[in-house]
Amino acid sequence: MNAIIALIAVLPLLLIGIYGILARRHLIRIIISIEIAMSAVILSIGTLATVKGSLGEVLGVLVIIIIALEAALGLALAIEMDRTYGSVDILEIRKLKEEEK
Amino acid sequence: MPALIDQDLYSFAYYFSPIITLLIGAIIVALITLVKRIKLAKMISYIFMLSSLSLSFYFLSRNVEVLFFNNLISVDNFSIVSWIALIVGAIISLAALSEELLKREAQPLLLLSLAASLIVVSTRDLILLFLAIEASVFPAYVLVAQFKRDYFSLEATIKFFIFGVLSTLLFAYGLAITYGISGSVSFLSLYNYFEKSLLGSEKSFIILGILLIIASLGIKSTLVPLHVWAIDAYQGSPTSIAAYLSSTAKLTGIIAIALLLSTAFKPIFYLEPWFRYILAILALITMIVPNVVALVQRNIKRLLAYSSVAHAGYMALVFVFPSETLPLLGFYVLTYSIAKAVSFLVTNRISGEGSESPYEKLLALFKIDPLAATTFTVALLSLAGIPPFAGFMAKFLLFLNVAFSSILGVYLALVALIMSGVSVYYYAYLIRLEVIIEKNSLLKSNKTLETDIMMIISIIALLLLTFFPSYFYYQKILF
Amino acid sequence: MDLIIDSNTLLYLVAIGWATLFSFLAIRTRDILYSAVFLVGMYVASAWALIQIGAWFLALIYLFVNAGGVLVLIIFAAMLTRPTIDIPPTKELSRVAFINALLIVALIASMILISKSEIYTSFSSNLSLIIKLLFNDYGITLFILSLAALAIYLGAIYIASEEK
Repeated sequence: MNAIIALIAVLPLLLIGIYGILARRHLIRIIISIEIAMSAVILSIGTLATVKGSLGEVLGVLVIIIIALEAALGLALAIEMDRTYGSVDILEIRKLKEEEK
Repeated sequence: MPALIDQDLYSFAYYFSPIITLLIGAIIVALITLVKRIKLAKMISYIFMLSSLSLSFYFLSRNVEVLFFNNLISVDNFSIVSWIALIVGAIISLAALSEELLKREAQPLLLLSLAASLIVVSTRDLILLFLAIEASVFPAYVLVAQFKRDYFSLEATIKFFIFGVLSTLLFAYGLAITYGISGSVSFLSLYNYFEKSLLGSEKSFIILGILLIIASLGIKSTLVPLHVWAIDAYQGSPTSIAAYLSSTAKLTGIIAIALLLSTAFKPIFYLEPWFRYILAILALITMIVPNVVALVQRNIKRLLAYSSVAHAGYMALVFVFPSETLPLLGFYVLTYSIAKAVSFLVTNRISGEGSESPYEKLLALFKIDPLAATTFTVALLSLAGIPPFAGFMAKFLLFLNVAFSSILGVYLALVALIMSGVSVYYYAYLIRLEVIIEKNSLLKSNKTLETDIMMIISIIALLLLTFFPSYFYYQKILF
Repeated sequence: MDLIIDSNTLLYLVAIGWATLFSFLAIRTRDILYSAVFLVGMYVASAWALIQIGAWFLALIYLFVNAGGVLVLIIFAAMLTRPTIDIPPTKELSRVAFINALLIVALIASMILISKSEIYTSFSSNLSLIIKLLFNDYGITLFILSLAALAIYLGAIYIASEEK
């Protein structure tokens, strides 16, 4: 199989992930979109590891761990945000900011 | 000392002692903060940071050049000069930390983030660069997230976090592409790969990978148009943390890009001539946009944020001509780090940690708090590039060398000079506000001895450094 | 450019299609908990795709860390915050984001299509090589990872703690 097929095939996944990060308002859904985009990246890393050697797999493992840590931090932020402001909507903050002014 | 290639753990601990000192300090300070002895914790963090700084100076004087673990990490002149600039910025922002933040976990996180930033400038391998940058930015996410203040702080955190994750994803994908085409990750093998230029039709794909990596680091070093998180983040985060973000965290990104462009990606400048032009356009818009927008600001922290983006643009000139101008970057980052961190220190002193810092707080500062006013003036003049302060020497040397590099350099230096002139206008406006004698009811300046000491040291440093620029040049990069 | 399509490729494409479908559903449902369930489906599909390529070690780590760790965190966070019903996106933000994402992906796709294809024959994760690389040559990475993890532990616990 060609590496190109594998690389192009994960692009819709990347598209959905990046769209989710930029467009959604619920913080937890943004983190879910981060995981989706990361899956696309990991699949690309896996494909390129089969072509070029096992160092790619080491890289993939490290990227998985880093993104998992970021997701954990983001979820802690979401819980804190909900406790302080009562909602996890990131655009509501702008409305609250305008109201406060 | 001649270059050694070393695999021994003991020599690793010896040469990396600045970093290991900071890590041990982070753990000890975390434990002490747990038992709520705040003053002791702050003193111990100072001790560890200062010892780290003095170790770096010691290594600088000994001309250390060592490579470790098969070209993975190296301690050479480039690393050590960068270490000095990064540690100095962190010390000043440590001095700015207010009581409330100290009670929480700000100090160990600051030390951890600083240690990771020090590792970033010593790596010579893309995987390690990725990990160290992430390790340096995770504590920064937490440090910015002090929600109790106002909604600005929340917006700052969210924007910073989302852009940070975007930068991680871009770096990971760019790294995947680069590894997938070239088969190697360390700087040396990438350099050899590009030199031999065995590329065929996949040249554009690997250039895309490299541009993704540079874009990811550019998010961190606030290059336009990826700087939008920085303005709100610097304004919304506590002022002492903004000092840390704008000096050490930003410099980590800029030094990382300069490192990449001078070692691994250097042959690309000859392979693809338009690569230099892309970087030139990036530097141009990063210089022009924030200087123009800063003219209409009414908030001190926001103005300092725009000014730091503008300085990232001046430093981005080094990316366009890395082989000719890289040595000067070492001096520039040191002066920028001191000046920017101390200007946030003064803002913290007069305006507290919140995001409300209108210009009116500066009125009659010379009468109310003369030391803070003098320091702020010196810092702003150094950032603007007015002699005899260190910023002038840094900008002068940098623009001169850029102009002598090529015709493109002449145009870039011209734009840089004009934009520096524009920036003098808004800095001078702030200084003028300090001198006006008017009743200032907003100001409650909390003077402490340690901020006094830090300010005096910074003024002396900014004056003295003008005369010793070559001591801090980047002389050699081992990879 | 001759494309080799065999049974392996077809299974891989099926797995990727399943992953894309589930991720699309995860974004579009209203309830966060349903979104998390679809995310599991996407994880399983991606792991299958990785196994199909031959990188089974990566698939294992992927499943362990994501489906075993991050997913539990997401479900807990979804249960601890309210409301569980999604906030609908604003129309123009959604359009702008879609165009941006499309541009980025189109750029990447064009670059991929220009380059020539590398054909891989058969690959299976070489566990001893991976372990040697991770712990022997690149041992420093674990050191730096522990820094990052320590920062996250301190930070996340401090952010989410109750006493304020």
